[in-house]
Amino acid sequence: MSPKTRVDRFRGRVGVVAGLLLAWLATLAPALAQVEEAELSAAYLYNFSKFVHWPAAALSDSSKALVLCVYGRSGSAGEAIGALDGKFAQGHRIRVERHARGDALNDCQIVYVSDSERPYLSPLLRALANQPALTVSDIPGFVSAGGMIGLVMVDSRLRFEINRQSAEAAGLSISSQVLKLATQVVR
Amino acid sequence: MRARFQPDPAATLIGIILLLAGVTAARGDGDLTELSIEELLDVKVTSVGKKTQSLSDAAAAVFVVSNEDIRRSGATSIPDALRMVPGLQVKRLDANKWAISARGFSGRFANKLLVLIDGRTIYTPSFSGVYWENQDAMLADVERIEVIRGPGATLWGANAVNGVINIITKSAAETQGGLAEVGVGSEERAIGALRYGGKLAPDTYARFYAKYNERDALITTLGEDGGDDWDLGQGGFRVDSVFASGDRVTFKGDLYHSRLRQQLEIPDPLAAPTYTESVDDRMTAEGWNLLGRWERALSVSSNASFQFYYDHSDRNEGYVGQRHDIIDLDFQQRAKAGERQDIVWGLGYRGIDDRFHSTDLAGLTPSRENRNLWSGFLQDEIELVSERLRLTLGSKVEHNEYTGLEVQPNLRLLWKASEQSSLWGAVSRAVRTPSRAELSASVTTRVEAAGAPDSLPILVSSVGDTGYKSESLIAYELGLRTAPMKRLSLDVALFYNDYDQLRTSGTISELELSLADGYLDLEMPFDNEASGHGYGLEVSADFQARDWWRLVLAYSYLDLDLKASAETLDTSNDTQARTDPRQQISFRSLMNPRPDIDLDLWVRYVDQTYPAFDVSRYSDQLIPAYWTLDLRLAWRPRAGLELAIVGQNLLSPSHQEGYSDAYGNIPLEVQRGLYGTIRLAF
Repeated sequence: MSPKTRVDRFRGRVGVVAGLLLAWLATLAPALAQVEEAELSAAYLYNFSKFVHWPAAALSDSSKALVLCVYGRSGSAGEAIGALDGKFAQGHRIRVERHARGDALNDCQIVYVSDSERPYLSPLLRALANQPALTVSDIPGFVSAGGMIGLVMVDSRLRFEINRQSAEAAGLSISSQVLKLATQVVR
Repeated sequence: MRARFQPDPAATLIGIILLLAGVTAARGDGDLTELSIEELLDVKVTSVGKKTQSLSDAAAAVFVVSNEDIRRSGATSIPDALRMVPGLQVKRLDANKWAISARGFSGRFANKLLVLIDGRTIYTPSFSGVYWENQDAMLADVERIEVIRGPGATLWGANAVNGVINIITKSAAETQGGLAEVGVGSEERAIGALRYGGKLAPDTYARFYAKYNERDALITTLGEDGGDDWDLGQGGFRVDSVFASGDRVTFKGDLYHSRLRQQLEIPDPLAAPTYTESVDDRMTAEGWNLLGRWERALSVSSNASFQFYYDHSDRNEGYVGQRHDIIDLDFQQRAKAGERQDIVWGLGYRGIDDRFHSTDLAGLTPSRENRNLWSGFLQDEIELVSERLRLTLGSKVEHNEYTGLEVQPNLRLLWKASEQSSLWGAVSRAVRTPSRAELSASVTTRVEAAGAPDSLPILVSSVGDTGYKSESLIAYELGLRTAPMKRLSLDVALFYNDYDQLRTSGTISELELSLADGYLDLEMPFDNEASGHGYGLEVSADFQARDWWRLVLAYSYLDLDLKASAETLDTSNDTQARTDPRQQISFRSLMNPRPDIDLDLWVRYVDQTYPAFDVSRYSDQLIPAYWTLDLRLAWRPRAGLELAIVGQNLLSPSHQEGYSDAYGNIPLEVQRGLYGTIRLAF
């Protein structure tokens, strides 16, 4: 055996051994729960649906479904929110609908605005202004632009801001339990 | 040969795959909707950044370098941060010169890549390439760097032949308050940066920044000082405002000044026997730019933007002085047409005014030129099957004063097989329009020594030719993006590039030989006599092994085969084809053993290459393959304060990555380096 091939073999072994060593190290660490932002957003939406009061004209008897509309190209958030379909909130069955850009949003009680709609935010909020629909989004500056609940990332945790003025103008009232947990409330 | 730690790349890949397999342990997955709001507030998000989500929808080979990636890489310049991107070739040629290209053709004057900072094109029109040493930003304020490999001509325009690098800085609203960073090191001699952001009015934010870097010279193969130390001082501002109507306005500007040193070997037909003269060149480069952008939503499904910028640059070195003034206007509108179509169109104008200070070595005729570039594009995204199958059709039409009208169409198809996986394919045409130099320059390249005792040496020059045409490319691409597990994302891209009309210099029928004083003068005009193809594979994997541990792998394979016709004496395309590494690996481990400690490791492998030129005594010298390792340890004793130590290129005392071309034919080596920084947010 020539010295060269011995060196090559050694090199090969170093790579494999290093990989195995790292793999073994990794299995020692405990497996922790993993959470994606999309799942967390969906969980918040479900909670909000339980703590917002809609005017009777918008959500009358409990036979009516609570319609949660996902507006725009939603990606993984859409999938996570889709899992809320069929759950119950305030006695209403939740129905998740997907809407593409430009679709009418007349029958939605909650509108989740996807990140893809960032450039069109102001006309969208204008179009929704006096409808009794709770608007929620993780677009930065959503609340200051007139949206009702904005999800914001703070230190790897998802928090939320509320624009109470927009919500009240649309005839919605958000429970004080939720208001006191918001990082910021615009009045 | 010096003893170096050089494990076999294939074995290391196997090792890494085993590692990825090993960490795929059990995962807990509860139903979050069972939690109350109070409980949700405490849940930590572990997924990879959301910013990249919209890109995962793109039918193109896209890679995003985030702000966090830059910080934890320890890179102090944009070129060094780009080393983590699959499919990019990055070489540091001397201390102040980089060669960066996508999918091949790298070299100091690589010209098939389009680079933008916040929408401003930063290539120099005289040679269509980028002076990377003068492209800097406050790295802490860079939001992300998007790298698109492959032709991006439709939306971005000419020069986006092999790729687009889009550097995007944060908005002023996201950079409020102060940030100061100081550092010192062996190669990174001095690091200083300061930014301050404030609120000017409701919904109007501003920031300004200033930074300074001084960098040490590389070393020669004999271990002597490379004589290429340099510094760069830069400052700038950015203002972002949202009007009551919802309109968004951005206004920004930068100003820089740089002192650089380089060692040149100038061809001289009268200096027998080497026919070269060494010059220690001290040069300066400076410039400024202003950019304004106005965006308005016209309806819930239509928006428009208008952008304007002015860019001035001035660079003076031993063999040429160049000044450029560029005005650029750009209008874009996006609108939904019917249920399934999304249309984007735009119009652009660019005016370029240049002035050259010629020398005997390099000159342009006329020395001053003013030219206009008009462009328009239209792209239609058609949702063939809602949220499943999307077809993108588009074309850029561009008119330049050298080659007239250029059409660059593309067709892309994206199939979202599931929420986790998508498959895409594309066919596109792109052109690289001639640079000013290819039409009107005269550049002395070398001296051919006298063959016989009584014959004269020949001074060879490459000269511009008005008949020079655009280089063209038809690219075929295929890609897969998938997230087989929630913590793992995988991106694979395959490409086949068919090039035609590539540049050559010296078609036999066009050579001009004339007698000068004591030597013969041979002029070799630029021509388009080469063609060829390239193919390759790029893989990237991003794995969140634990909440506190992320692993990122990038692997690139590239094979270029170029041929010049028998009509030409030019062999530089053969050289060009072997100047890019065939295989590259970048493997990063980003660990937070404690929330206040970062422990980051970055291993890179780059295959052997050859110089990008076919002249000088070094033209056949192999540049060996190298392995290298960077380590970074950072500690945040309290919020807003970070202390970091970074070791770069630790595996060997020094290694060579390339040659700086343009008379810089001396091999220089990048050294092992160590630096420390303190960063304070206030």
